[in-house]
Amino acid sequence: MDSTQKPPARLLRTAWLPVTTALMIAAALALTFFYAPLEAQEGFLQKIFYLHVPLAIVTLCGFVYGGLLAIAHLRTREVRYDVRSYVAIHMSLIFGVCVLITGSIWAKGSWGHWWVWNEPTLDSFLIIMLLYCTYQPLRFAIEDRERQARYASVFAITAGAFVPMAMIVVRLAPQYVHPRVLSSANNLPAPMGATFVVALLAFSLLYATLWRLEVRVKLARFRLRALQRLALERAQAPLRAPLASPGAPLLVPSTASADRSSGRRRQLAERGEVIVP
Amino acid sequence: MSHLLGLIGSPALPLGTAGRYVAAAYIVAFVIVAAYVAIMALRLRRIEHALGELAADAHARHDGEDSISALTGERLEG
Repeated sequence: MDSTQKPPARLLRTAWLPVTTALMIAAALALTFFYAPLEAQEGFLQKIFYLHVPLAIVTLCGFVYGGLLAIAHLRTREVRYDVRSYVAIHMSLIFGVCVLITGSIWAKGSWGHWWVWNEPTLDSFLIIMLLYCTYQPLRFAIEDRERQARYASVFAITAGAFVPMAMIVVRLAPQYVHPRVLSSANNLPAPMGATFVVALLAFSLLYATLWRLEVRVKLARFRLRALQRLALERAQAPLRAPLASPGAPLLVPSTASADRSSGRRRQLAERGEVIVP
Repeated sequence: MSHLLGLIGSPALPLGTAGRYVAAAYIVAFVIVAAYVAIMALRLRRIEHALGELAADAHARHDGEDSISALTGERLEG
């Protein structure tokens, strides 16, 4: 972040996205409950549509976005793309859990069952979710940071390519109970279509806001760890130099600082980094 | 499957029943997002706390170095 920016400009730069997201979500909720007409067959239960479907679309797009960022990481080897890809997939997993739960609630109300196992749309989404559930264990099973990022990127690209393929195959499936509302523009009347578009925009913005927040938290943690390492190295440097070269001139400036040095040396010895004579 | 396909053409649920499902879906989604935001806020607070500790440590070291240089300066002058 540019520290030379004036505070109002900085606030505007960082706050516009969360504020727009909050406004859009409020608009989407208002349109859902006060503007969109009741659906003839499902009635009020169909209001879940404006939550469940946009969340599902954003989730799947997020997985693909994670794959695209992984391509950028493999091409450039820049850590920031790896972090962004990881966060995109993490956010999609959280949204995906929401999709599964809201979908199950809708299915229970509409079909009388929490889950229908021979429905291709439900099963394919579950398979995609289970596939991505292996992403984090795979990633954190590798200790070497560079190798971890590389393998995670390969996974993200492969799985990201699987997502659209799975959806295309599902649409070709002949038998289903899951409705195909978005297969034709005529399926949704104009007020329902407008509400759906606003809800889709609202949840896309929510995804973007949370994604940016987590990326910033992750990058801040990386910087903090780097600072902590640097501070530790600096704390060790004046102690290690005389220990490493006994012939070098040893400056003992005062009793107070000598006490502090011996205290620091004791701390380092406790961590096993120096040997107290 | 056939009884499920039959359900698609059935009349709408009454508002009292459907309202519970709709409320449950929206509340679950809201709670999950709120929990996520709370976890992120907690992590941010930890980072700020650790940064504060680092800054205090750096200030203390800076003050210590100043006093050392002042002492050595006095010895050289003496």
